[in-house]
Amino acid sequence: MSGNGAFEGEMFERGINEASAERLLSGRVRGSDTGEHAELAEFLRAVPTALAEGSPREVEVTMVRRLAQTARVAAQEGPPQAASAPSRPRRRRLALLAGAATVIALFPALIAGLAFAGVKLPDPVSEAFEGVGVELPNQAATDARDGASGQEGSSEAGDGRQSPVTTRPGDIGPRAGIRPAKRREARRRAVGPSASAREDPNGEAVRRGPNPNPRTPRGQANGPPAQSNAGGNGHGNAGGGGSQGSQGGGNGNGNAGGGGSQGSQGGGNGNGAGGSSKPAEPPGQAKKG
Amino acid sequence: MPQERFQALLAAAKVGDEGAWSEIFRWLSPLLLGYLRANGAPDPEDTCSEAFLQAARDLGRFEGDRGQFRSWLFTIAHHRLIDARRHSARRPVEPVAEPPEPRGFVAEGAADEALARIGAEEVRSVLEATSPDQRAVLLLRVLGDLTVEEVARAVGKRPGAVKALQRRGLAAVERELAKRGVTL
Repeated sequence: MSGNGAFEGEMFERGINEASAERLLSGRVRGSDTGEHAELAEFLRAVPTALAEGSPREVEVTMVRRLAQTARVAAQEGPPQAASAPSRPRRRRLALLAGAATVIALFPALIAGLAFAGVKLPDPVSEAFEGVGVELPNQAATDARDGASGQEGSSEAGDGRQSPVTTRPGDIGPRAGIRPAKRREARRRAVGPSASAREDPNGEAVRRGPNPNPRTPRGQANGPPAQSNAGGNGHGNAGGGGSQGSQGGGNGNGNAGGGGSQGSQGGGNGNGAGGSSKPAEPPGQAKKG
Repeated sequence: MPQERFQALLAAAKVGDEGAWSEIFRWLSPLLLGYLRANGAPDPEDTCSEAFLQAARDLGRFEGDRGQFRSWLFTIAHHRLIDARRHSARRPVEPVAEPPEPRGFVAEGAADEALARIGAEEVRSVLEATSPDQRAVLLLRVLGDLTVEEVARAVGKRPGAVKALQRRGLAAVERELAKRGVTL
């Protein structure tokens, strides 16, 4: 396609400039007026007459009837835009509201999805869900509370026995498979970084990491560090550290689940008393058994 | 047609008066049909009917004089022409039987009678020398009596582009006339 001005030279050669074109098209130039564009002017004058063609009579009658009927219907319905789709600003507002409603509706699902994927959600979010009776999965705070309450049922920690892994009735499905790892995580959080106890295959709490008391061999309780806090674990197995500590000549306080169990005092018998935390001795005051 | 007469006609047409619509149809449908046929509309009669029906639906919104009404109807017809071309390009149809023979345009004066001797086919063949855009612009100006700005709005181009199209179109027509040696 040729660009603007492609035929400019040719046009001016023929003498048709903008003013002449305007005069020709507006009918102000007649063939008799000028000899320059006489043929063109007469042709343009002949175009309407030559091209115009009337419709057959039957077509005209039918068409006029339809037109009148259409106009009557349109007049009864009022302005066309009022009866048709909503105006553009209104459509925009409706679309905005629909989008906002969709986002609001999807937000709880998004939160639940994050929780299911193992993301630790802020407490206000979890509490908001619990407030309406929905328990989010894989939340450490929830598990910790579960562990604290579950301590009552398994407080053999002081006996140095390892309790079997207790599965609550609610631990069914994928959540039950995830829970042990989460519980360990919750336990670590509750105890803090200084005492990361884990249980050995015999069910005894084995201290890991740097040993603050070099006289005490690893695996034996030693004063305050031997306090085994099994925060969030309702099994009472961390209390085994306390009992083991007492066997080593000291008193180990087996604190399970944030004061869930009471450690042993001498004799190597630790009594785990879930729920009623009553420390027998201040931490670190070990008695000879 | 005086403006007062046209306004009365318009008011009657808005409420669905058949007499008013008959007068409007007889006034403008020959020009619309000629425009559509010269621009190669696939079905000029059908496209013309669609344009009139849309005008009847939207007439309640129209306010203007006789010339503006004519321009408005030609703009509608041009848009329907584009739609018909698109539709035809997507779904080509088999040619059907010839439409009924149209009645000849009634010339209003002696000069028009003289000009009517130029056949429609001859005019169309001369206009074939122009491009489709040039032809549409020229015919909207000549048949529809639209201004440059109105044509620009109808065809979706800038006024400068419309002026360039009409200049080139006129030059092409003049060349074609000279080549044929047409004597009017």
